Amino acid sequence: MAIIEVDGITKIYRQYKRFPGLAGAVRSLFTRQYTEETAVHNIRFSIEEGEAVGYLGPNGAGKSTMIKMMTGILVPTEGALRVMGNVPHLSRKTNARQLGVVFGQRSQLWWDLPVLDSFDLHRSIYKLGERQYRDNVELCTELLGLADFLDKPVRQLSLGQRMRVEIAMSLLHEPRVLFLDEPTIGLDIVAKDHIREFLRTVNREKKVTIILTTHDMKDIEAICPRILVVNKGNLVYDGTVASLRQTLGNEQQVTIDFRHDPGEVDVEGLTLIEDEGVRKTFLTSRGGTAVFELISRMAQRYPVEDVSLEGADIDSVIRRLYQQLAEEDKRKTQIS
Amino acid sequence: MSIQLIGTLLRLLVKERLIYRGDFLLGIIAQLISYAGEYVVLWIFISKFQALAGWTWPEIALLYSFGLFTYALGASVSFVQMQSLEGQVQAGTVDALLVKPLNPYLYHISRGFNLAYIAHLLISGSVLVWALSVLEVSWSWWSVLYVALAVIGGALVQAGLMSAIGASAFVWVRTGFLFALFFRLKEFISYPLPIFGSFIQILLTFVVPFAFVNYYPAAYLLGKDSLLLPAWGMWLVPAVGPLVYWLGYAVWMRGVNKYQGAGG
Amino acid sequence: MITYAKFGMKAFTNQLSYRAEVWLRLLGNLIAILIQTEIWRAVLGSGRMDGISLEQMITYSILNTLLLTLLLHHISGQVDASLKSGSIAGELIRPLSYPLYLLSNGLGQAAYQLVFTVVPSLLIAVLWFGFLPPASGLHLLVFLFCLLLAVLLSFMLGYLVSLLAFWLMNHFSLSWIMSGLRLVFAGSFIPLWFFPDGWRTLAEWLPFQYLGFIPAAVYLGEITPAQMPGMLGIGLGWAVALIVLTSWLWHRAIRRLVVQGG
Repeated sequence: MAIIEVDGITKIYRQYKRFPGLAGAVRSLFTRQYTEETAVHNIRFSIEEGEAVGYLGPNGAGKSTMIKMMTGILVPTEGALRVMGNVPHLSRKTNARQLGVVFGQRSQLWWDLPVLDSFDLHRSIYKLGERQYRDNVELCTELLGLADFLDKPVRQLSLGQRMRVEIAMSLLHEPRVLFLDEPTIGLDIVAKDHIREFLRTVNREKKVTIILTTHDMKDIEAICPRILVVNKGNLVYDGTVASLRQTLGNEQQVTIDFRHDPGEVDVEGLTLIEDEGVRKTFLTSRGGTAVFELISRMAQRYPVEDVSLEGADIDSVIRRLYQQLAEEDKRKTQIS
Repeated sequence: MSIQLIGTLLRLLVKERLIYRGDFLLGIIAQLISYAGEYVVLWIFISKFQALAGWTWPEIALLYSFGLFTYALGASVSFVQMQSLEGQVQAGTVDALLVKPLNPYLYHISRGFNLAYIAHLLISGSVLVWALSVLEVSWSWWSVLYVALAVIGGALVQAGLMSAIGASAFVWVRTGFLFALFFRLKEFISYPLPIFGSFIQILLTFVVPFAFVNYYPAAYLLGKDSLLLPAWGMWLVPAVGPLVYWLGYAVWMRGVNKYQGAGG
Repeated sequence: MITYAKFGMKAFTNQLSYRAEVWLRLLGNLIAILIQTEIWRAVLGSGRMDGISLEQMITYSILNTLLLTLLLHHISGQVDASLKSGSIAGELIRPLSYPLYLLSNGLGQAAYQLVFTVVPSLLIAVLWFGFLPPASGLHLLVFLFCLLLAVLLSFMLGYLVSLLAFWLMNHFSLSWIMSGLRLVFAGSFIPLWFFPDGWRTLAEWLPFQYLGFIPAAVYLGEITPAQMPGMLGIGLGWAVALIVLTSWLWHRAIRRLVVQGG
């Protein structure tokens, strides 16, 4: 049985209408008028133990709602959801013992006290044995480089150090599933690399199932072979990054900076999508080396200062997907 | 919530206070001055008028101290915790409570246990002891037990009410109004309730049971007429506290349910 | 000058958005007046103490309760909040006198309270509890002057707390201490006439009496015209002393801020 099974999950938020003023406050005690917002609509997927999955989507897509349902914070409106074989909100405490959660911007650490004190509290909460606790602290300290600031108050740590500590703490009780909500947001490159490396190790060697939401696609590249993409509450993609790239087509964006504005440019295989005079951006569906042929042909006709290609890396793939989704949404609203 | 966890939390809370030692001490001094002021005002009043509705200075001091002492106990496990819920719901930090393998209510109030009330306890406790000694209350095993139960009960009433108010943070997000109402009504119990007429006494007995916090216990201990409740009513006093607290707890947990969106 | 007036107006209109708060204050005032009235009724009944009747004490309680809503000592909390949120930097940078800005802000808030809290409370109190007319036209005039003095003094004291809090890095405790002193010596609940001798003398040496006792005593005619100049003189003296003290502290604070690099 998969460690996470999501079947037809829907979450509808009910916003009770608020009326202004005092008379309104009294009135809202008696009326039951509300507006409904569907944050998650009929989503279906399953995740096996040991997988590392990225949960992606534009802002407002319903990502954190889904994570909250999987961790037992929110109750689904419809559908079946099982995490580690249990219904999360019914077995909240049981599941919590084997879950780890890291909220990107909401710290669970004790601000004025040394890191070790927060760890110690964590130990008491999860009832960890002496040996297990010490071993895990040692392991995390080593892998994440925490030794220098274990006894420093959290408020003295940099954002990168704090995040490393948060992630370490979330693993001290050896959870089977780790949820991370934007763990690398606001961090410098070095910290990000360190964390990605650590999470990859944790997933590959310790078989911890990882569910990660992020806007930094390098996180996905480093950690998650599989991605789930949601948009406006619906699941629009479930698979690997590679097949997504293929699905979207091999379209690539080519930006060329000419030495002088060549005016109208007509090269077969290149479609102009943005003309800024000296700089022109084209779209091409030729893949691989064919693109370079096109460019050299272009350069023979018009002197070229600089060329940049975009399309194959994960950032572009996802960006293109979001663009497509946004265009679809626009079309849908235009029709209706 | 194990004993070990409570122990760890306490240790960390004390450690935290000691880091801001200066502030903590200044806070204690401020509380002592402030509540000494309250006592001085009462004392000045009684010095002039000898008694209020038949309650003499030690009796008034007893009444007020009962109120303050029980408030400090109850608030240490509820006030700041419940008041901060509004901000925590808005910031989303409440979620951290729900991903732990613990009862969210118990953990929340333990984590926020407020040591600052120690000054309240010191000052009201000393006056309480002084008043009891001066008043020659007949001391038997049951009157000692009664006082202890009444103190715990009074604390539970206030903690329970504040927990219920905190629950509204989950539903309406704003709690300021209800807290302000709470403190306004609580002002009545610093004085012997009969002077306010039956409406207030009924309100504070059957609707918002503040009267059970200090008035009824003091009235029974001092042999005062308590109008609304018959003599056997004194046995209600230790029972009301746990009842109100349990209700407050239930309301709070229902608030969490609402927050989770359970039941649509 | 116009700028400061504008700030006052802004504070006034800002408060307009908090309707529930108005109802709450109204209720709070009425409860406070009720409590005091019943206490005085219990001890005075139809008699008098030291020549003071129940009706006078009821009026005294109403005046003090309503005056409390106009006082400005809470600005220290606002300054503290602004300090903690960092918005104080923006306020200090403006080419305005910060204290004057605070004062006009406070007066705007007081004006709001006057219209939306004090007047309705007074109307209800007059109908429900009974209210005596002022002792005379002169007394009424001096009373109004004392009201302004009380608002100003409360502002100065609140401002003083803010400044001390800046040095001691702790606002909450200082403001609590100040309110403890105010509780006893302003005479909001118990007029100074009922104080035991030693306490009365002490209270008369402090500025707090101007925050409650003096205005109400003037209104009720318990301060004779002969006593007025002396009383006013001392009150104004306190205002001047506080202005001097807070100015000095303010300049030292600014210097410290600059030295520490803001």
